[in-house]
Amino acid sequence: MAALRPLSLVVIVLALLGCGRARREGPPATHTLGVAEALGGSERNGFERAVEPRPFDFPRDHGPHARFRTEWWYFTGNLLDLDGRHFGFQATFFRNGLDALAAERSSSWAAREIFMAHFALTDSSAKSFRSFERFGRGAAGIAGAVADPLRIWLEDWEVSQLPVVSELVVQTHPNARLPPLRLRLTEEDIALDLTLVPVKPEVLHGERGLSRKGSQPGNASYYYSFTRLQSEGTLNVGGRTFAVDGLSWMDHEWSTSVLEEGLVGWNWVSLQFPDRSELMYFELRNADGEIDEVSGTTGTWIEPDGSHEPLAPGDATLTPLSTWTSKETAISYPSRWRLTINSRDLVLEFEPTVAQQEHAGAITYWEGAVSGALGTSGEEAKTFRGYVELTGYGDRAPTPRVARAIP
Amino acid sequence: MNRSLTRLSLRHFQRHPWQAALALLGVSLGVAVVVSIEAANGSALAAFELSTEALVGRATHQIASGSSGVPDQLFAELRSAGVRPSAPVVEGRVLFEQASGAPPRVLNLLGVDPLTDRVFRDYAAATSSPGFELADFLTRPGAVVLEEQAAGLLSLAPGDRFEVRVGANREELEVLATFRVDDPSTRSSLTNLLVTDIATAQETLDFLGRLSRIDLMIGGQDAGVNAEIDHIRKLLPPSTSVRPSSTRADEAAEMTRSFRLNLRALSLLAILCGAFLIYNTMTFAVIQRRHELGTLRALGVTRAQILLTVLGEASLIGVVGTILGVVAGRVLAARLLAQVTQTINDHYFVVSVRDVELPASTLAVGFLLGVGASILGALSPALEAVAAAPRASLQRSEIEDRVRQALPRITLTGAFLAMAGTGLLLWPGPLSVAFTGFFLLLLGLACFIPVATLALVRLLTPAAAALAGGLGRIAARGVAASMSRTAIAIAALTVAVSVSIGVDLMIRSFRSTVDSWLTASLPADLYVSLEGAPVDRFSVRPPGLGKDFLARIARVDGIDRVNTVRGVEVNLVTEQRGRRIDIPTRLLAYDLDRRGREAIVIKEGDPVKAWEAVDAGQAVLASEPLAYRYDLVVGSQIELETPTGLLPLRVAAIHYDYASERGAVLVDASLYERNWGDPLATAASIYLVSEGRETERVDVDVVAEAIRAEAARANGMDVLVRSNRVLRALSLEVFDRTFVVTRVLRFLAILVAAVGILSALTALQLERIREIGVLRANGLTPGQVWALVVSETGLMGLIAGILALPLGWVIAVVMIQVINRRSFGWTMAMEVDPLALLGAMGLALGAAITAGLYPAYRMAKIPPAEALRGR
Repeated sequence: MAALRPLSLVVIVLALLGCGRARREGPPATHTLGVAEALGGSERNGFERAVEPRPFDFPRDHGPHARFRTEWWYFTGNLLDLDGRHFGFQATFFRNGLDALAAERSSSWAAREIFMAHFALTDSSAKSFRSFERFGRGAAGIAGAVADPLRIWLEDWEVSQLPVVSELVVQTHPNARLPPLRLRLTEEDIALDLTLVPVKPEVLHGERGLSRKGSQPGNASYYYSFTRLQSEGTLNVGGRTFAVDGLSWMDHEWSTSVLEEGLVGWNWVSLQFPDRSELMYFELRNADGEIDEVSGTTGTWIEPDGSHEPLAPGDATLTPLSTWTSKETAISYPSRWRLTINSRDLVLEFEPTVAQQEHAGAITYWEGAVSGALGTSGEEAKTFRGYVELTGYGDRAPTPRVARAIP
Repeated sequence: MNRSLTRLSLRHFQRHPWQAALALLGVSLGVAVVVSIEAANGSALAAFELSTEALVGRATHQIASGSSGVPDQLFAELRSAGVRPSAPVVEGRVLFEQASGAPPRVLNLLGVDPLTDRVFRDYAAATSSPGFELADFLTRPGAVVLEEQAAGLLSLAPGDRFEVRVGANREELEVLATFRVDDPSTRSSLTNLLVTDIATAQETLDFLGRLSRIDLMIGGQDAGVNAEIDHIRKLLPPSTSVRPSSTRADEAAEMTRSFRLNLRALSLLAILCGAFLIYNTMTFAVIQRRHELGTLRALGVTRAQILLTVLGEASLIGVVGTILGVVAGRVLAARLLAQVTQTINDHYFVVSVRDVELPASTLAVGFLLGVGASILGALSPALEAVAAAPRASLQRSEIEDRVRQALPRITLTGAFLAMAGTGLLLWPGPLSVAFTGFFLLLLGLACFIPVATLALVRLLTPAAAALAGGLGRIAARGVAASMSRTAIAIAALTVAVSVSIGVDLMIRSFRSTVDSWLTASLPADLYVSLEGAPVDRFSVRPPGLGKDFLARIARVDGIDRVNTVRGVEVNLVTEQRGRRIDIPTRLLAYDLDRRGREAIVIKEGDPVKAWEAVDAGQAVLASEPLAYRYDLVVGSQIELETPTGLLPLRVAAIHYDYASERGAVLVDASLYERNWGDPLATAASIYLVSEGRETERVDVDVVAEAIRAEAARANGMDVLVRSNRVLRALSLEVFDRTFVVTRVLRFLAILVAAVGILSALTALQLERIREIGVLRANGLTPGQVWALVVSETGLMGLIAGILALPLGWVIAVVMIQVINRRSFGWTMAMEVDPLALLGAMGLALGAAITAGLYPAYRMAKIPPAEALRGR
């Protein structure tokens, strides 16, 4: 789930240990900043924890929360061009606080946080998927986040408040406390430039925005979403320009300590339905690959009018229907799903628009556009789309796993 | 080779071990000198290249602008414009004071951004070491990492806090972690390196808001690279430029090229002497066996076989001598390396060298010279031996006749070589051509030695006769009669002594020129500067004295006036042969009054007008080396890169400056401050109140102490306050250090020549054993034999000494007027010290007489009967 994505920053550490001489940009490998310490609730460096619900204050809370170790702004979306060609995109900005108690420094390069960003584009008709990652210190203008006017950037990857809103065709929802945004990302021969307009108000997940991730108090995050952003703009790929529109989803989450001991990964699903309702669902998996029932499953159902409620524990079940094995990393991921929600008497089946949507950068995970059909007819109007994230299914090098398998 | 002939060769060496030993000594000395110089030069440069590699990494290009660097926001702007890979760098030198009381070490402080730098430099080892935490590296002020062995050398361990000195300030750093590198060459490249975050580097080096450079990696085809560079250039402020990173190592090589070439030339002079020696030795080895070889021929051994035998012997001596020479050279190189490194540190850049390297190319040069010279040396006598008819012996007089007949030809060849050499020297080509010319001229002049010897003998015979009667006459005639033997010995000695004279004259002239320049340029009573690491052109803007501090010392009792200078690195843009070039240059911004100005000696241009133009901020003064190298004349237009753009200026005058061979431009202090925004001064010169009676004179030491006290009040600054006398002495010390290597080489050349003359004279005298036997049989006493031999060798020494004077003068003139002028662009006034010349004569005489002692002893001891039998 998006909620756990900042764990990635820590996972980098492990990934880079395996390829210490890799000549790519990114933070250097380190031994000591391990998963357990980073997510297991170390009191180091004076960070606060998410212990109890708090009032959200916008636009201030759209900005960074320096007292918490990890934070991210997360945008995914499904877009169609005029001919109905489908594209999926993911743009994520991670902030990783280094030391809340760091001394005041005179250099403007002195960093208290590192930013990491991921950008991925799925071209479903071309069956192609490309992903990129960047790192930068939250200093010297390289990367950062500002609440008002809202701007989150890492070099020229940027999400910012739209300065002029009068020309917008789509109207912002009157209760949505988020300004229309402009998302701009350029990498190699890809350029994405989108306007995102919130057409539903914010959704506070869990207990009024406190999303518990374990049985221990403080193993939690503050988590809200804008689940329906009307999106419109242009996409340049390989010299071709597409006018695109569709729906995006924004998550903003911050925490200091979330992961409980024994957990290795998660499955996270966001779905947007034609009737203007949405679903967020995640489950945590333990080392045995089983769903952690105590702390592991939760979700939020959002009604067309924006009202929402958390799913009761055990109410939803996510069942993998097939697997896909990455040629690059030899890791197998579930690749088709059935999601059952008992209380709503709902059974949903969905699958990736492209099987290969694996990020194999500093960290390895699968995140991609999915779609499914409501009912049995399979008409276009009944199609729903969303994004799925799968982590903890293996590391980059398959050998250690093989080695482990040998008694 | 025929086995019995081989045995014959071995027998010969067994019977004459001294001959083989001298030949070996000659070859190995010659080879040792060349190998050691090559190795010392090469190792110093290789060490610099390695440490450069650690600093430059895989960067292909860099964005930079002299010591003012580039604004640090530029990095984010470039990244946002898609310029990547790219990495910011802040680099400077800091002084690490060792607990042991040893002199402080200069360390490179390299500030990097670990998030973007991995592409350029491998920190895998650094960042995966135990104890390394990225968060600490980024957030903890003063955190550095360094290589494990380097840390050991500084007695540092993880967790240690230590102080470094940056200009007047002491900054505290902390060892976050050390890392291990297994590859020895990578390890030695990291010896003086502290890696730190860019923020820490900015803070430690007081370089807030700026970067030393931005490293780039631009790959692909030339056209693509150029297009990319053009694209990047459009994004840059006008003051910055994109240039290849390789220029850094190239610049280092270029900066020291003249220096290294000079050393190499000196080492070649040594081998020139060595070649004479080898030739000499081999000639005698063959001549000694004329009889034997003649017998062999009579027995039916073919010419080819004899030729092969002789050349085989020569090769054997060459190979063994070369091997010994390489070993000795390796040892000598370790000694010389310290000197070469010191000189490079004094004048060019900071480099620390731990190991002597002997690359294959150096070995090849050594072998080529050692074995080649041995074979060539043996060729002519071998041919002489086989050319003879197969009869018992070739009459010695016949050889002498032939030599005499050959004299005009030798002299003519010499004249031709000398003319060709002079031609090359006058041709304004590259320095290596000048050196070739120099050698041709020397060889050519050496060819005149036999003729000159004959003439001198004729001149000196009456004197010798008057001094020593009949014996004197016999001695003089002896020298002339055996020209085939004496000429080479005299030539070897002459060349060696003349090189010694020439080098001595050159150093003396240079030193006295620099000394008088220093005296003129240091008119103030006291000089105040900061103690700190030497600044080279790759480090950030050097620290300096602030305006407040200067104002405070101006108020100190007894101080009349304070002048200041700021020295930084800039890029100077000019045109040379129609091409725009930019030159890394030293910029000196002066705030001077009348006396300060008089200290700057103008070479070309009207001083009054020149200073007016400089004051008006319209012009610069260019130093002589700069002007010489880049064809600048009074009135030339140049541009200087400033943080705000290119500043067009005119060259108002050329001034003498022996401080920097790279050259410097002098500008007005206010012009500098206006355009570079840097209010600091690198040094201040203090004039004391000089009016009043003698008794009321201000005490220099008291004022110096008052200045130090002011400095201590201002944040505990450490300043150096030195009198003009001390400063001058220090400068001359550096000068003398520079020429230590030269002096060592000069000594070695003489040593080679002395060995040569010893072997030549020994062989010559032993060859005359029968002649001496006849004289003994006719009543010559052993004492008279002594006198005869010693006066003969003494005469040779005297002749060599006399001939070396003009030759030495020619060498000095060429070195001063051509070699040094072209290398460094400096004018020197020739200064001749008669005492030194007499000393050189004495050297020649002494070497020759010493060399005659052993043969004299041998010959005086042999009973006449035995001598008559020819053994």
